[in-house]
Amino acid sequence: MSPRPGSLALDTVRSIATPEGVELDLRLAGPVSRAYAWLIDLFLRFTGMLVLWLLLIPLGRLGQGVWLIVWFCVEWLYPVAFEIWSGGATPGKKLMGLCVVNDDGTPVSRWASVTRNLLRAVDFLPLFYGLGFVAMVLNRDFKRLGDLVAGTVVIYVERPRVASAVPAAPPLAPRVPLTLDESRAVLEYAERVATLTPQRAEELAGIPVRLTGTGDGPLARQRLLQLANHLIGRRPQ
Amino acid sequence: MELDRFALYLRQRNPWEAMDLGCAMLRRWWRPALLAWFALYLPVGAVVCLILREQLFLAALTLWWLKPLFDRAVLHVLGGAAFGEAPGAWATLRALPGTPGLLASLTLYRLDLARSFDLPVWHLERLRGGEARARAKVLHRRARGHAVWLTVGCMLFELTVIVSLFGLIDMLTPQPYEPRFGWAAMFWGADDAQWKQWLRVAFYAGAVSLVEPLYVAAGFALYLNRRTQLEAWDVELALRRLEERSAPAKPRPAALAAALALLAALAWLPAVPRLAQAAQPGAAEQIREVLKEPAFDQHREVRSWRYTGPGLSWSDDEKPKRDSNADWENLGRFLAEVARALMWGLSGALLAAAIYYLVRHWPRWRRDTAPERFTPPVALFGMDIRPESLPRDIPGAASALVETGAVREALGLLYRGTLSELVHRDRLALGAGDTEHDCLRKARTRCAAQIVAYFTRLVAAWQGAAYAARVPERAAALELCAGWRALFATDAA
Repeated sequence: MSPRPGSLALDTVRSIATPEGVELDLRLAGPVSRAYAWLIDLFLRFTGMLVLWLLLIPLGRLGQGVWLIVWFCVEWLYPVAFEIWSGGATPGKKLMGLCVVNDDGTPVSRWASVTRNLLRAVDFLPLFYGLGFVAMVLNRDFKRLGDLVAGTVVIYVERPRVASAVPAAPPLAPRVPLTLDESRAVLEYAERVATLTPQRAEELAGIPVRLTGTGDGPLARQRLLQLANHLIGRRPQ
Repeated sequence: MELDRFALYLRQRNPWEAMDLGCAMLRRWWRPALLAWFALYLPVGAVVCLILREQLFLAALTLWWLKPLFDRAVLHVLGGAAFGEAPGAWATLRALPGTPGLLASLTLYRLDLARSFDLPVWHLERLRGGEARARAKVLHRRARGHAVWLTVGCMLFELTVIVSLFGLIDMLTPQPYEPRFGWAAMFWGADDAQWKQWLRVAFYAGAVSLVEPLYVAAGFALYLNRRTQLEAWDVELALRRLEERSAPAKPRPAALAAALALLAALAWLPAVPRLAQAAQPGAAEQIREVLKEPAFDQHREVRSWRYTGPGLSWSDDEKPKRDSNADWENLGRFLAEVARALMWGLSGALLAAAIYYLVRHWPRWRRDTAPERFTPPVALFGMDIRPESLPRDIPGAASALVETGAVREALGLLYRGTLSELVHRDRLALGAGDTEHDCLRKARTRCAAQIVAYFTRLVAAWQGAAYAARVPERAAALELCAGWRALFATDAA
């Protein structure tokens, strides 16, 4: 994994180039969201075990024995089972929009999952994931020790929500061909123009003078929207 | 503000990602940030602790209360770093006193749960009073919740680190010293020695020094993310780049002169063949360079068996080298010896077992295969089975006994009769020491199926009657008599 190529700017994304020449961005998850995911899982497990305890109490010592066995299994297999059979995410991770994958971005493999979860015992040291927390803060990919050994990373799955509707305007083809990044910038502007103050929207539209052909705020804003309409494929009737 | 010089990658992030970006920021600028932090925290901490040395708990409380002050040192450094150059520790300390909202953040807003998120409004935007409040209100919309989660999370982290440090001591304390140095002794031991109090304060300070910069950085990143979202910084940067690219490049004078000179030189050159022009002189080298890249790097290890002639004959220099792997090889040889010994031992044991089995069971096979030399025993289990000792009509006598109620005696007579028949007629080699089941097993090897079936039923009935006092029903007993007659009586008659 390498940092985002062509940019020295700081980010928490790691790019992976597949053999097919496709760039995949992994948006790595850090200590705060993962701690909350763990707390949610802890709460779920605790609640489940409490309910089971209440159910098994009438059985006396047999109930205690069964409860202890179930506890052992839940403690060790809960994350593994969810990571293998539920798309790499325990319920807590799912709620936080997280997911475990291999270093190369493929779904987490069986033994990697077993390894990273067995090593929780090490990350937990001395108490309550002290070591895991420090490792996560120090490591470039927010890996705790289990992740380092198993070769896995925890990433965000859901995309940040953006308004996707481009306001309608008569389409207009750009005078100069735009690169991919530039088309993206124009589209991004059109999609987010509704969330900006009018002043800011016009200020932004005034920047690419050569593209819009005008320095006048409201007009430039309209031009950019027209370009965006062209870019998403709307054509004049 | 010059976004071109902005050191963070601008994009829309979800708030959790923004916090992680804070962590990455601290990782990149840890040196100036921590330097500024310690430059403020250590002296202030030392002074506070010395003043309150009789009440170190109060010292820790004071340090906790002063956190917003220390936060500013970290924020000052990170703010500078994000927008250009990270200021030094000394410059940071000198810049702090004049910053707005310092007093408010230490009093009115000390318990604000979105502390690190609001800090940049005061410290970097330099807003005061109502202005700052209005600004914070705008930023808080849709972002305050996450800022609060961040604060709670960092509180938990701090607690985790403190508890971990004590846990570490507890883990490393040998058992006999637990009462003095163990986990419990640190907090509710009988003696609260001075050094324990100092240790607690030191651990607290250590944990804060690890987590608090992280907290400030994450809050700052959350703030930047919110502003990026509100003001579309990422769009602004992209549009600026677009404008720069579409601007016609102004040829600089030097470049222009060089271009002119080149043009002039070309005019004097003789016509060059196109092919030669296409193949640039450095092309081969460039290709070699490109092929050196890891993407083109292909090594394959192919293993296959190859016939090397009859027998193994290594000359001395061909012998595999044993210097580096000697230890492993010795281990391997040792394991091989152990396996060899095990194999021989196992083979010996198997052989011994086979011999024992043969010896143990050979006599019976011999007896079974040589029935002709068998002389029938006179009695079995103390029962006389000579035909002369039995009544002529065994089933008749037996059924008569059943009618009188002596079922047990009737079964005994049937049993004796059956044994007598088996021994004298079928020449079954029953020994004097055989049990009922030995008889049954031997009968199975030689006798007809219906005899075996009958004998099995009879043995069961007889054993029940003789040893368990379970006398069968009258009808069942009579049936056994009838069965005897059907099997044996025809011959006897």
